[in-house]
Amino acid sequence: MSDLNKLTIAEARDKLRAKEITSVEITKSCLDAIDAADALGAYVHKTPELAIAAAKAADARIGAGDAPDMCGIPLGIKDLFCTQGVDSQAASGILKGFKPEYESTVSQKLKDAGTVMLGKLNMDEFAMGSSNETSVYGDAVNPWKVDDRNLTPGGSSGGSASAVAADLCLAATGTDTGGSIRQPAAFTGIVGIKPTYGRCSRWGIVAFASSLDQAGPMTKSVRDAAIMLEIMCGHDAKDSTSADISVPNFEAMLTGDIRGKKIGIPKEYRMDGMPSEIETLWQNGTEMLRDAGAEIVDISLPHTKYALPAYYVIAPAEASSNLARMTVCVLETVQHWVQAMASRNCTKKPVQKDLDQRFSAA
Amino acid sequence: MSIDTATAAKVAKLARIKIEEDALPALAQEFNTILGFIEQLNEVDVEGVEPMTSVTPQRLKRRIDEVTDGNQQDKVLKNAPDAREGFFVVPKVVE
Repeated sequence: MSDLNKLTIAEARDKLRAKEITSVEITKSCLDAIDAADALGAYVHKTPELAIAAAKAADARIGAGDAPDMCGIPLGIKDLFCTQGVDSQAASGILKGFKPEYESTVSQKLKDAGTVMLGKLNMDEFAMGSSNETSVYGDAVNPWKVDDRNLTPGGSSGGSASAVAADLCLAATGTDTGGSIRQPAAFTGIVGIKPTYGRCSRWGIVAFASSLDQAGPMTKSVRDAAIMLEIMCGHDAKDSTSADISVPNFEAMLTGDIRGKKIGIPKEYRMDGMPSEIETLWQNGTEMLRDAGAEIVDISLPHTKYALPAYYVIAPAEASSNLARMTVCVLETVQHWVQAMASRNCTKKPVQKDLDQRFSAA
Repeated sequence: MSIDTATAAKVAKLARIKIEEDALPALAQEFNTILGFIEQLNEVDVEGVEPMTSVTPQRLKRRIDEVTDGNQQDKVLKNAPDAREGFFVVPKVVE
């Protein structure tokens, strides 16, 4: 059976359990799709050998019975997550060659659940950006086309969004500080959720703004997002800000019934000068909710206008503090230069010049 | 308060970041934008509003003060460009 890479997590889970297909088959289908889609720039480190080995182990686990929901599901992992023995450089040249000796809590949880990592996904450098154009690997490209132009998949989780939309994995991890899951998910027509702060452990994920960063799933359906989020969530002793609140079965909560629910439509979210097609989308969405039996209420959130100023004070301040440690990495790079210069009998002056150039480029 | 190009140049020097002369006005403008954001936030009356640290009730978790990890010198030094006798080796920076 071909096109296994186009399955959703829920479909693949049911077929794997029914022994209709194997994880190795889905994984190979994804790996073929990945190799045919290099033009999207979605995958920046491919790990096919690790993937096949993990898929074989998952098939054995499924064969033994009682495997978790996501056992055997091939995923892409954003380059911001530290993955043991696999390049993790947050799309930055500063971290080139860094192979962590540890695994982030979220990717470890996914590993423990039997998922298969296909490789690492493109993103904006250090997760700062909304178009995936600041990556050291080059741009990620949106698989959707309106003409010959390459369109942005959004960012910072642009590679994740592009990979999911182009069926280069069944789902991917993303991270969101100020929209980095939600905006690329919207740009590529997939499902993405930024969980409530504290739901997912931030341990092992390169930090941007610690009080805002959250990991989340990027998937092809809402059901898939529910299945994957449940595995990613949970308290972690290694992250004191992770919430010690029991994780519900999110999938079981998808009843599809919203009758009698009160849905507020904030007037501040519909700005003056908004294009008419966006206005139409708002109206269509409102109608869909009303048709499903929800009660629609116009509300006002008067503090909305302070969200952006607050973000632009908090996020850069925390980022500056977090990434100050990267000067250590810069020093390591400098060390290489010093060694190279020493072997060429150079003085220290050219190093200082190199440093100046490097910083002025930053 | 407003940041002029001289102040922007001073901040850049303190941060050890080289900024070309012609890029200073734009940098000063960016500083001023951020200060503008802060002024905008100052207009909000927060009198009597309880500070919110999280949307869910959360207290910092405590744990027993004991060693739970360690003894991984090899792993710690694995990504070092140069390591000798269990230490990172870095260029001499003080004469």
